[in-house]
Amino acid sequence: MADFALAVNFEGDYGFKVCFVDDEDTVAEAIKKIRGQIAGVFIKPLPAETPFELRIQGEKLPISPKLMVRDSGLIFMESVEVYSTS
Amino acid sequence: MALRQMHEWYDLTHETNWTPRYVTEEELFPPHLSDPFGIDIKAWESFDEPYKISYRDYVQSQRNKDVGAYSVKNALSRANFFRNTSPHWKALLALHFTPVSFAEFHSASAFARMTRFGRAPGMRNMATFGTLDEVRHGQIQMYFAYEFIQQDRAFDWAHKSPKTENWVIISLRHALDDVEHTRDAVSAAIGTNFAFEQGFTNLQFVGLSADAAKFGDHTFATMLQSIQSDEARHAQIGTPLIRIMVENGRTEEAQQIVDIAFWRIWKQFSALSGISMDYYTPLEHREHSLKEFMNEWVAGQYIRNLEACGLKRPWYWDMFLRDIETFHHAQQIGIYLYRATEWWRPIAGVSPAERDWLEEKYPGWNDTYGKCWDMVVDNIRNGRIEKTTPEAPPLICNMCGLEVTGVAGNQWSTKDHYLDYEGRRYHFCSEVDKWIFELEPDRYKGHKSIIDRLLDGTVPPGPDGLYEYMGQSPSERGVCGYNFNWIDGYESLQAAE
Repeated sequence: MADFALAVNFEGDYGFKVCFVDDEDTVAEAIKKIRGQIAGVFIKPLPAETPFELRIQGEKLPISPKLMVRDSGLIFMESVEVYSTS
Repeated sequence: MALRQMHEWYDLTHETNWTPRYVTEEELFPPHLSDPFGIDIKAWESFDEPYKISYRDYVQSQRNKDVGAYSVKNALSRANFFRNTSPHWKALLALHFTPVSFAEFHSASAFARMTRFGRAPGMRNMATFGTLDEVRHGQIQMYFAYEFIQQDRAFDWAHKSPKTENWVIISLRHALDDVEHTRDAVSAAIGTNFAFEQGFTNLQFVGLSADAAKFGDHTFATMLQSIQSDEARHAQIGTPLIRIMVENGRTEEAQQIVDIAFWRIWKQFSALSGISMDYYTPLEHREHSLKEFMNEWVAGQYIRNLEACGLKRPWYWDMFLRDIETFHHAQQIGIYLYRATEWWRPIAGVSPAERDWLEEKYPGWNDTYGKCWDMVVDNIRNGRIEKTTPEAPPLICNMCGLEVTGVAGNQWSTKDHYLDYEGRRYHFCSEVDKWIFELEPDRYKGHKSIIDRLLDGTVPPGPDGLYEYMGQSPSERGVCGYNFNWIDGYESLQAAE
């Protein structure tokens, strides 16, 4: 278990934030932590059940939410986008 | 015996040089400190400044300026002024004095190096006066700032700030070190005098002085105008240098220097002047928006100055014009929410009336940056004050040292212009910041942003570690200048509805 920082561009936010997750989190768990740090602080939160995805900046496809962060191919301080899909 | 008139002897000074006998020319003027472009001394001796002054006239005119500025200050009672003035104006004064004073004082060393290492005698003469000017500017602004220290300790940062590792100061110091303090005399002069001073100082010292006069702060307005009159003189050093560079086959080098310096200084002034003009100046006293002032007084004039010198508009000009409308709005959100990391008392500046003004001046503001402020308002109105202090820190640009930002809300668009170099990831807020890095990566690669220092353990752990690292005792951490009572503007609106 280790802290893992990501440079996050969250949907609707004015700029990137540095969000800390755990490298043993799944991507889905990481998204949940990121939402908790940004939604409701910088921008209005969407309903809790709203599905979100995470992808590396510049990529078209999201990373599978089931993968662990440390197995996802993300590097420390990777620039990622977190966005809703509904 | 009658003294000679200045015009009878002045031009002799342009050829006043000497032939060294005990050291070589290269030892006297090392190229990396003086002229790395290999331009012949005869070309440098053609340096001709438009505004000429003798030391006798300089002393007299500067004395008159000081008498003017200091007498206005003495005549007006400032203790009550500060005590009674709005939190908007208090924030603006703190934001001006505390980073600008040291920047001015440090510029004295940049001018002193131009005095010593300039090849052109005319440049050395003008830089001598420039050195004295900047000593004056550092002193006058620190002196004026210290009037307020009994009322607000934040003004101690006029003197203290350059000795700290506060993230705002890291950003400013990096920009000024890059443009003024770590280049040869010619490059430093072109970057400082042409791009920085001719390009931008009117924004803070003329634009802001108009707002200050309208607000009724005549002491501040007079001081700013007095400083800018010096600036108009010593800022002229850059133009003749560019002309000499162009005439001697160094157009590309001159273009690159101005393009780097213009962008680096723009980022600083965008935050400093943009927030001051569009958020901190009380609404009823605003003369211009940042965008209006930049378009009317800066952008067009700068291009004309460039073209008159034989240079072209920067390749990134369209990005710059877009940045005028966006960057400072995003930075203001962060400056307010991360207020504890600053030493003054930031204000939000987004009451309903102010938002109407912002929408008028920047159409689409409510649909973009306004969406972030909607969340802040909602949190305060519903007592969720803890939500106005974010948990997640911002990503900081590895060049400008400010947040990596874009457009918020319904036009959400932000990009990290990152680069991997020698196994390290660097983050940049714009293509231009990244371009500057890529020109000389070895020059910039060793610098660490405040976020890099957080991540690599340079900043001590613990809840106070960051503040202690940045030199902020508990009483020196920013709080909302209105103690969130600005929200009352919203309550009144809701009641009316």
